[in-house]
Amino acid sequence: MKLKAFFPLAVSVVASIVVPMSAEACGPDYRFIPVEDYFYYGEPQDVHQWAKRAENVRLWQRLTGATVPEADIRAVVYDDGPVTPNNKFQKFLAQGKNSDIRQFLQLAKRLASDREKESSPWYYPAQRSNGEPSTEFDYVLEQAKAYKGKRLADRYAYQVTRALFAAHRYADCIAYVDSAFAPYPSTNLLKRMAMEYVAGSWARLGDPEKANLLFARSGDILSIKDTDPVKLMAKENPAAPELIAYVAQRVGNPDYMRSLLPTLRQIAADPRVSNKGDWNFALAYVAGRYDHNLPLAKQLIYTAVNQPFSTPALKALADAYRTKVDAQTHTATNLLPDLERDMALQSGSADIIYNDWVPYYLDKKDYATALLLCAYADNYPDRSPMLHSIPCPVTQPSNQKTYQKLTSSWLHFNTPSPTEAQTHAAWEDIKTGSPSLYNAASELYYQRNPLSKALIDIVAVNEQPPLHEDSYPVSEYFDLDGNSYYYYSLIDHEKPGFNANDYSSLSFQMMGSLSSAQLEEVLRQIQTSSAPLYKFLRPHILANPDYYNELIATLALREENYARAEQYLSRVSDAYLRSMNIDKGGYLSRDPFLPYTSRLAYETEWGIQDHATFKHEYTSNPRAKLNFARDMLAYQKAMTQGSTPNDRAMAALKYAIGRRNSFQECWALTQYWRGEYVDLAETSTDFDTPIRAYDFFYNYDSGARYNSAGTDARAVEARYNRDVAAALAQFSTPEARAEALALLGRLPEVVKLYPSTPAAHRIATSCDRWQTWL
Amino acid sequence: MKNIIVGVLAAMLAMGMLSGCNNGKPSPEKALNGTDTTTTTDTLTAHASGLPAAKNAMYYWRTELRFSPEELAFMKRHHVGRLYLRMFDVVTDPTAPILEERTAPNASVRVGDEEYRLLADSLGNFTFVPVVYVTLDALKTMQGHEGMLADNIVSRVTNMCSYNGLPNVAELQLDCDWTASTEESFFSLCDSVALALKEKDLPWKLSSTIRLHQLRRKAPPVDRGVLMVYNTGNFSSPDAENSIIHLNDVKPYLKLIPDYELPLDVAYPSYSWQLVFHKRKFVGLANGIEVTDTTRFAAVGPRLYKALQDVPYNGKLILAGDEIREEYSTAKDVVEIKNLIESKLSGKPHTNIIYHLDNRNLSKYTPNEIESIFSTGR
Repeated sequence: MKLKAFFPLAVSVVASIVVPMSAEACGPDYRFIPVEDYFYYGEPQDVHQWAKRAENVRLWQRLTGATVPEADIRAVVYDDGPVTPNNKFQKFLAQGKNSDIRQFLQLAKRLASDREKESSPWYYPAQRSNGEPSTEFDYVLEQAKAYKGKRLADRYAYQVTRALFAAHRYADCIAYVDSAFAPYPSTNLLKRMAMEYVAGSWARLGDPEKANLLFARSGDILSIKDTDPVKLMAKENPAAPELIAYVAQRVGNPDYMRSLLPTLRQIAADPRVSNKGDWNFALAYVAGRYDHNLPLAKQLIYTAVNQPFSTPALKALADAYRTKVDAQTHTATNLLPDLERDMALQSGSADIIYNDWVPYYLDKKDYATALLLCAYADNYPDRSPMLHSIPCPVTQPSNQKTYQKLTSSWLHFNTPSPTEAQTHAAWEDIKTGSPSLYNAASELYYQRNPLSKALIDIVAVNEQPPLHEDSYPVSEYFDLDGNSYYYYSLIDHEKPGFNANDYSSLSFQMMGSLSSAQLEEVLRQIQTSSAPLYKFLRPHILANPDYYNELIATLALREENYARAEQYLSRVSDAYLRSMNIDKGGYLSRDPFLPYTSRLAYETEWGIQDHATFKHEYTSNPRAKLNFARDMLAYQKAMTQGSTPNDRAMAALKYAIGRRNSFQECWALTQYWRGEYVDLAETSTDFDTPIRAYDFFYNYDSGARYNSAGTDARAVEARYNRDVAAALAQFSTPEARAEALALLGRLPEVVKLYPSTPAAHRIATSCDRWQTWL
Repeated sequence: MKNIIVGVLAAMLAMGMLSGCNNGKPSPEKALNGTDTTTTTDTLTAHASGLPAAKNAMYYWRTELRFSPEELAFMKRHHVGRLYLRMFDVVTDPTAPILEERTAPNASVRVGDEEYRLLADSLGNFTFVPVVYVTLDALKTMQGHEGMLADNIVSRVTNMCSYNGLPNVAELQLDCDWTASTEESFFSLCDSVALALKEKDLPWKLSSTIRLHQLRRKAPPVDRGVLMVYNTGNFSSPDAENSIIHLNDVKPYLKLIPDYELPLDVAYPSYSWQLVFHKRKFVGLANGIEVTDTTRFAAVGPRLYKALQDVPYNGKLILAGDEIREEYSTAKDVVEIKNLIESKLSGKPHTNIIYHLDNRNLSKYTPNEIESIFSTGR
């Protein structure tokens, strides 16, 4: 059953008035609910290269006697720019006894540079070979021949292999590798790397079968042509990390993944494969995601997480997927340990909470748990399961804490080198407090760079620029039936000053969908429960009582429970109220007891901009809700206790006007946004179906996402008309009735029905706009 | 199913099927010019200003340098000794990670082993002028970085010339449909190419194609220009009479020729094509549609035919109702215009160049007609 069925009318009133607009509105924000790809892995070519590079660096390290850090070796061997003066590998090379290594590296870099030139689209050889062997890279052969040592012999042989291949001397390349690497075992890294050139040579010499076989054995899966690379790799080299990377890259294709199932099972059972966790994870993923066979997925993923994985990153993904399957199968026993582990591992599970746990608890009407989890996810750091704790290659700032904050969320498994320029620029901004810090954070955010979160956090703490009142003009348009609103505010959601804890938080919206009494009870449960899950979650939700008191009060205003509203609003600080977007937008500055008699007569308050639009400047009125609640309470009291019938009737009239306005022209008294497409809970980045569990946010009475003339809005108007008629009937004298009609803007009636009253006289002598007589 | 011919023909057009390049429009746009102060093989006298010798010249605009026996015979008969050879187009590659590679050479001419030997042997006396077609997109991409593009062009052209054994190269030609908005960038490219040639100690001259509309602008900073007197009209207009060459399209520009700041040679067309229109919208180029088959096509105007039924063509379909306009560059039209241009050149030494070497088209002309096009009347 849909949750919305349990909400009080007033809640859906709020919702029903929301209409779709093309204009900018003040919210709510499009809610980003990530659905991670739980089987992500690195690109096969990167995995292929990184594995070799890592091994090569370790070999160099061994050559140095393990005295040089890998990072220093990497900088010298693989980076093109100058290395830092204190690079230990550079110092190692500077020693006279290591001049042979220095010469070798110079040769290797020269060859790499020459070969790189060939890869440019502008490259064109200057000489035609005419069948003669190219001599372009003979300098490599000559230097290799001159080398008489042993410790670099295999490395020189590898460079010769590369040179022969680059010179298109494929037959020579094959023959050379056969001969030069004969003394070396097949596990030798340089030999394995050289074999890739042999494979390439066979491909160019027209023997694709031999080439494919060698490519498969070397793990170069992307070079395998004209045959099923997965099958071939499964047969020849099933433990290669490139194989799981290749499969993972295609995991978004259900048909392909299903077609792979027999091969995946074969690999998972292959005794040569040690990383069985990878493959059972893959099988679980296909079962759960594509075949919706959750029992099988659960069985497989539980098997997988207890097996070895090829990388910690993939293990982290498998763990995350296990929690996903738990959530999908409502295995709540693991929830708390998973959350605790998740926080410790920083592997991220906000998406699981949003997608699976919150809907589950909402469905059970366990609003307290749903809210706690939702708020936890709202406040969850932007940690992707793809994040990996590789050290950041950035100059460490002097502020260790900030540096750690930056770097802890910096590196992405698949982004080995986020640009240092970006990092340095951001750091400079942080140090100087530059206003461009936010821009830097935004830019990184749109690049989906995890650094953005850290920067935004810093912005949130350090960069709260004062609001300039003039900078928030508001334009609005009320259509003639009063049900549709068009308005926009120049509050910029993308800039500091926008209150991100306001209605743009999903947990806030969830609380707003409850009744004030429900929310009171939910918060009581949250505060008092001694359940371990609650104890864990409580520190992760907003603690500011203003946040909750204001919301309960607003819900009470919707429900006409002005006493409760007054009670809670009395506890809320002005500072908090001023931080709210409805105040920043100036939406609380209107007089709720002005009858807005004709919705064409906008000039009554702000003046006409054109026939349908009016604007007003920002005016802060943080106590508007409290004042409104108190006024309504006073009118309630006067309606029954007024000294005369006319006093009681006027109180009833004002009450009717106030109530209607609180849902219409003064909607900010009871709502936090209006006039925006409310699509708060739809996944925006992934392939899964949109989350329908949050129906109550957008699936209103018509079942459509948009509701331009909701029944609740019409109910408000109907109630208003009834209340006004009843109030008018209570007036006991023509003078008082005339004043009431004048207040309502029904001027022709006053003049026509009560011509002798002061009100009629005032109108006849002061109203000079023809339109007001119509 | 009825995938109109649009796609195919558009593809043909884009691939420069007729012209051998893929500059995205019916390509006849190449140019000539020459400078040639160093060639020793010319048999005729060089122009007084160190310009091309008076041997006849043609453009070669296909992606593979391969001469048919008829083409070799044609060149021999008509004393063609200079070929303007399109080397490659410069196009954009927005995905390239570095600026230098955001433009890249495309459709480079291939020279097979047989032609390579021919160039070293019987064509050894020829003069070759490498031509590089620079797309406007590429030019815009490298705006402000024309020097980088120039270095790449010069390096690649010189390598291609040496690799493929092009004999007697003494000039490089740039072909670009620059307009007022890209004029500065193109001129900067010209300057940079000249500088790059100088830095390589290459005594080559630099020339540029000049389209008719470019006559209204300042001349580019090159040694010589080749006025393109073809593709003068709007081929995509269903109402154009002959977009390849038409007197009415040329006339407005004639008066600009005498005072043009560059010494000019002139290139004339020798090609024909069929333009296909679907609902009066140009959908592509074709060649060889049998429009004289009256069971399938009806003549509805001069050189204009309408398909009476769906007609398969090269694996696609010309739909009933589609119109095909045949366009030719007849010797009569060409010579008429040529004579007008000659009168404007006022005896200035120049060469008339035929665009382009392709026996399928050239066989439609008599030897005398060809000679009359080549002739400068001097």
